Amino acid sequence: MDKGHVTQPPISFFERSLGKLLLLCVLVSSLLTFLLIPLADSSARLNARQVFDSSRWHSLQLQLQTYRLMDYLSGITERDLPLQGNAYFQYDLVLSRVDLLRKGDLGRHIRSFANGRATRLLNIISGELELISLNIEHLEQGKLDQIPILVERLRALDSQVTDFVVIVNQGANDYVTGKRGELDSQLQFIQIISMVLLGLSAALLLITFKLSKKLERAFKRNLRLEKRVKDVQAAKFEIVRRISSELKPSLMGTLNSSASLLQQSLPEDLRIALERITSNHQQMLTQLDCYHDLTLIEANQLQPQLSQDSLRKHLSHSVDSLVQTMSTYRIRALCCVDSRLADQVETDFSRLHEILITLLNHLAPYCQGADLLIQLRPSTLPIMNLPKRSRQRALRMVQISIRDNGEGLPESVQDGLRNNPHNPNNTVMNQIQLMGMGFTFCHFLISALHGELHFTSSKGKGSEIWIDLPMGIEESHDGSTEHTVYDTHIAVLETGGLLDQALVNALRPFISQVSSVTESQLSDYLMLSEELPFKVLFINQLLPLSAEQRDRCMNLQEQGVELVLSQALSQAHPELSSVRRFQYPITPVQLQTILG
Amino acid sequence: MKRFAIWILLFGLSSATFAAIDAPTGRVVLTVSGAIDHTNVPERPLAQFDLAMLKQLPAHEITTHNPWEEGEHHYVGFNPKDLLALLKSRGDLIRLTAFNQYITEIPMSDFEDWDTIIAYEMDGKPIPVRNKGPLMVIYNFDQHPELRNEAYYGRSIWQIQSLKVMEP
Repeated sequence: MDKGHVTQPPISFFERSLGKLLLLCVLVSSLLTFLLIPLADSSARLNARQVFDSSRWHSLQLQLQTYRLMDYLSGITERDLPLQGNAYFQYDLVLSRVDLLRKGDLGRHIRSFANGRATRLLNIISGELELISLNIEHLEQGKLDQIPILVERLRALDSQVTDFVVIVNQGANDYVTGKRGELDSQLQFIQIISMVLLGLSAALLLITFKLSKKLERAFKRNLRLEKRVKDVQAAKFEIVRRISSELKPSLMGTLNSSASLLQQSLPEDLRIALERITSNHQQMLTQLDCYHDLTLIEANQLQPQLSQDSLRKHLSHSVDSLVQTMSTYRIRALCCVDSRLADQVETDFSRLHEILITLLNHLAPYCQGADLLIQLRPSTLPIMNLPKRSRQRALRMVQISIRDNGEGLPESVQDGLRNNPHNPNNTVMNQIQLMGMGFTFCHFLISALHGELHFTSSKGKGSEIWIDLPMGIEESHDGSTEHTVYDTHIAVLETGGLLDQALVNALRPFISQVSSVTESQLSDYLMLSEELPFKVLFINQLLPLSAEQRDRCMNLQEQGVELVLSQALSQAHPELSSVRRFQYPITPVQLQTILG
Repeated sequence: MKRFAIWILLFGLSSATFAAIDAPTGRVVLTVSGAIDHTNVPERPLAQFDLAMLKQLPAHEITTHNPWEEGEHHYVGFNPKDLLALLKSRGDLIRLTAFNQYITEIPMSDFEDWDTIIAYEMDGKPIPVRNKGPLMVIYNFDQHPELRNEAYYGRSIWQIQSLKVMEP
């Protein structure tokens, strides 16, 4: 048996069905509770004593009013005449009670007593009373002989009124007994429901207890798993760190040796080989740092190493190390910084370097023979999550725009860059499978530094990537950066590419007069032997010059115009002597150096 | 002359303090006694009202069902707090007696909180004795279902003949 494999005890049917049982118990409890509502309502109605109490009261009142009428009639003498409606008033009091017993809830209630006998008796009493109204009328007219007749008729009615009272009393008793029976049975029903509810509560308690135990176990297991994941990540991080620390000394040694050799005068082919070796080793060092950082990001332990320094210097340094890549893919690259942007910023420069190197290295294969423009400028994006800062500086978003007119990004890379790195489903491994190590690293690192990456890409037309990163910037920066401005006039030869206008803009901070010039304009100047309006011509070109172009350049040189050519171009045309050389990517520092 | 003027003033003051309300001209339908300052029966602490006098009080209306009648009915009547104000009474409990000597006591808060009235008209007509008139206490059972219980059914007295304002 494998000792490393921990077998789980089999889960019983009860444990598997706990969730369903809980639902069932809650459902049945709800149904039973719902059933209690009409039962309670019905019990309340059955318990309403008003109707049967009233029937007793009003039947007794009828009897009492009848006696009062008899008493009143017996007491009438000659002196009471005229009665002025008093006899009618007393008579109406009796009849009002009869009406009350016949109408409304009370009337409906009495109708059920003794199989309707109470109602029949009430009808007889009512009829008899209606009949004596004529005698009352005669009495009101002063005929006192009506009194014995009235008293006699009321006495004859007495036994029926008494019967009526007895029946109503018995009926009310029966009614109460019946209702009490119904109440008892309903109470029994409520008792049964209460017992079932009690049982369900006990079951719910048991299930809740079991579920809480299960939940506790799940939590503990989850904690163990989380710890295990962290251990695995820490181990991975440690392995990468060790690999990095073991490889770095050898790489650094090679780099130092190469640097020393490059200081000496060497044959050109050897010097080129050494430069290539240096560049490759530098990229390997950066790549090692990337792997190291990626393990930190995965373990959620990446901490920015903030420092304050010149943004232009670091940018130039980063981009300069891509000379070999640009040369391999024949890319004309230009890097420029918006003059509104402060030079001194607080950011993690080593991570910024890693992002730029990795991204440009991975973009280069899709920009073969194309133009590439890298621009740094203030961003309009707001800062969503405020990162921790080491110093008290205002945080501003800075945008790095990387635009090319190459073949565009492949669909898989576009899909990968569209995925949100904060989404737990987009794991590092999934993203690597989708768009490779480099793009994945850049995407995750930008996100870890609280930045954002957006892009647009069109097949055959190129792409543009915008990286927005928060940086600490001095509030007092007035938008100007101090440079040495050279008092000369430089013309940039237009090539119809992406970089023409950008190059003019990049030169403006260092040169007092900058303009662009076309091939035809140059021909015109030379043909007409006019005085040339510029002293330096900047030719932003990689490919060798045509014969016509070469002649033109030589003519220009004869007229005292200084040429600024790319290194590749100057190597291709040794006949163009005493030229200033630059190499791609062109950076602000390089521009300042070659024009100085 | 000065003494005569003082006598005139005292007479005027006494008339104002013990001002009697008008005596009824029609059949008396309600006799009020108890803690009242204004009366209209000579040498007796009573105030008697005929229907016309009661109709001069601010009229209030209620449309409601009740357990003693079939269907919904419209009642018009007066609020006893207006009657007690007329009689300069300070009581907060009234005892009402019916022709059959049924007695019930109603706190004045019932007339303030529930807009209860003593009705003298039902469906636009005076209420005859035979139909529980001429005066009956009407609660708005439709608007206030919480009043549908024995306590308020018991206070719904009809065939009212007298009202006594209890000492506070």
